[in-house]
Amino acid sequence: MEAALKDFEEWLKTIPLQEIVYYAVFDSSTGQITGIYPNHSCPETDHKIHIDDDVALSVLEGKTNLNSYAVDISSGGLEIIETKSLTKIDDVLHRIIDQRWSENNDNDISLSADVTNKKLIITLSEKFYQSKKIRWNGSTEMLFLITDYNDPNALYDTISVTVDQLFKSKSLDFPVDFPKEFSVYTKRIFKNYIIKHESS
Amino acid sequence: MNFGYLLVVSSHDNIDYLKMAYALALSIKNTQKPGFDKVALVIDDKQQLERIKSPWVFDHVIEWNQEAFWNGRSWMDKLTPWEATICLDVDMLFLRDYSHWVEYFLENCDVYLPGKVFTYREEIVTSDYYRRCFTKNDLPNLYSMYTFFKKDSALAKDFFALGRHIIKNPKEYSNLYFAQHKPKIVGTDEAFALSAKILDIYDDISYDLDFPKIAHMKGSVQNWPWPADKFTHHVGFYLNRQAGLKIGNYQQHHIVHYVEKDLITDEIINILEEIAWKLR
Repeated sequence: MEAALKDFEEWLKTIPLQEIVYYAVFDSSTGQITGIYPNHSCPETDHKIHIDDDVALSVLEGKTNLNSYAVDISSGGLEIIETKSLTKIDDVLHRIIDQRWSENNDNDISLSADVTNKKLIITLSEKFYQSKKIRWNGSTEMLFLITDYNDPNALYDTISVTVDQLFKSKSLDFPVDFPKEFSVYTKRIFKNYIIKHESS
Repeated sequence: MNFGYLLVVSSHDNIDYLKMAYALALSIKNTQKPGFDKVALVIDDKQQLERIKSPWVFDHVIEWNQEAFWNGRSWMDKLTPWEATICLDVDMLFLRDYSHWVEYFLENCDVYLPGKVFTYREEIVTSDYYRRCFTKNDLPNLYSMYTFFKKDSALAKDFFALGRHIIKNPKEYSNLYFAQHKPKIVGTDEAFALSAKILDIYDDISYDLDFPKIAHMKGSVQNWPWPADKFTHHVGFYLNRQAGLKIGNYQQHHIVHYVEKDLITDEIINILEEIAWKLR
C-alpha cells in the first residue's frame, strides 16, 4: 500500500506544473467585471481579458472589491480601469493631510501651498506615467476646496482641474489667496493625497 | 473634599489607549477651572508615559496591572486617589468648562451615572441598537462612561463591590438576570446597571438631570435612517486650532464620546498640546 502511494507521488512529480494566468470575465455591454478566474477554471466566453496576477490576487484575497474594476470598452482597448463607489464622507470630502503628519510616502497627488507667492501647485505622481494598466476617465473633474483649518463648512476658494489637464502637464499651479490657516479638501478620486506648506 | 478625574488604561496590541487618555487629559486641562482639572491615570506599565510629551497632565499616575479593560475599571473606587471622582472612558474629549456639573454632584450625590446620552445633534438617544440586553432584561439604562462617586460612601462601596462580583462571575449572573438577551460580554455598563437593579438604588444614582450631556458617537444611535458601523463614514470630525469641535456641521459643546479608537491623530494631539502649553 505504501509502495503504491510512493508511485503515485513519483507520477505526480512528472506532471508539468501549469502556469496560472488570470482572466477577468466581463459584461460586454457595460464592461462590468462579473468574475475573476485562473485559466484552468475560466468559463468559455469571448468576453474575457488577461489581467495581472497582482490585480487578480488582490480581488481573490478580498483586498480589493471586484466592483472597483471595469473593462473600458469604448476606447477599443481592453484594459482594466479603476472605478470607485463614493460612499463614505471621507471619499467625497477628504481632508488632504499635511506632510508633517503623514507617514505615507506613496502619494498619488501632491499639493504644495506656496503661501508667499500665493499659489497652489498640484502634481500627479510619476507612477501614473509608467503604468499601462490603469487608465482614468480624463474628463473627471477634481475639485480642491480651500477651507478654514479642518473645517470644510467655511469655504474660501475652489480650484477645479481635470485628470487630463493634470496628466498632460504633470504639475499645475493656481493662484490662491490663502487665509492665515487653512485646509484643503477634495473628492477622493485618487487614494493618497498630501499637502506641503511652503512659505519664505 | 478633593476631586479629580480617573482614567484607566491597559496595553493593547492594536489600540493606543494611552494616546486617547492623553488627549482627554489635555482637553480637561484646557477647559476645566482650577480645582476641577485634576486627572489621575491608572496604567499597567508606567514606562509607556515616556512616549508622551507632557506627562504632567496626569497629576497622579498609578501603576496597576492586576486586571485589564473593564475588569480594571470596575476597581475604580479602590484605585482612585481622589475623595470624589469621575471615572471616564478614555475615548472622550472635553470641549468647555463643565465644573458646575461637578459642583452639583459634590453637593448632592454619593454615586451618579447618566441615564441618557445624546446624538451629535443633541437629540436624546432612544435606540437600543447596542443595548438590547438592557431593554430585554429590564435593566436600568446606565452609562458607565461617566461615573461619579465619593470614595468613602457606603452606597459606592456596595455598588462597586457588587459590580465587580458580577464582572467576575458573568455566567452566573447572565443565567439569572440576562436570560432574555445574554450580552456577549458583561462589561461595566451591564454590571453596574445590574448592580443598581439588585441593590434597588437606580433612583438614587441616576435620577433625571439636565447634565451631564455626552454626545455618544456610536454609529447606529445617531437617529440616521440607515445603519452605520462608524459615524465617521457619514459625517466629518473637525477639530480646529482652538480645539473647537464640529461633527458634520454641528458645533459640539458637550462632552464627546467619540468611540472610534483610531480617531486621535498626532495632529489632534499637537493641537491640544499647544493649547495646554500656552495655558500653563
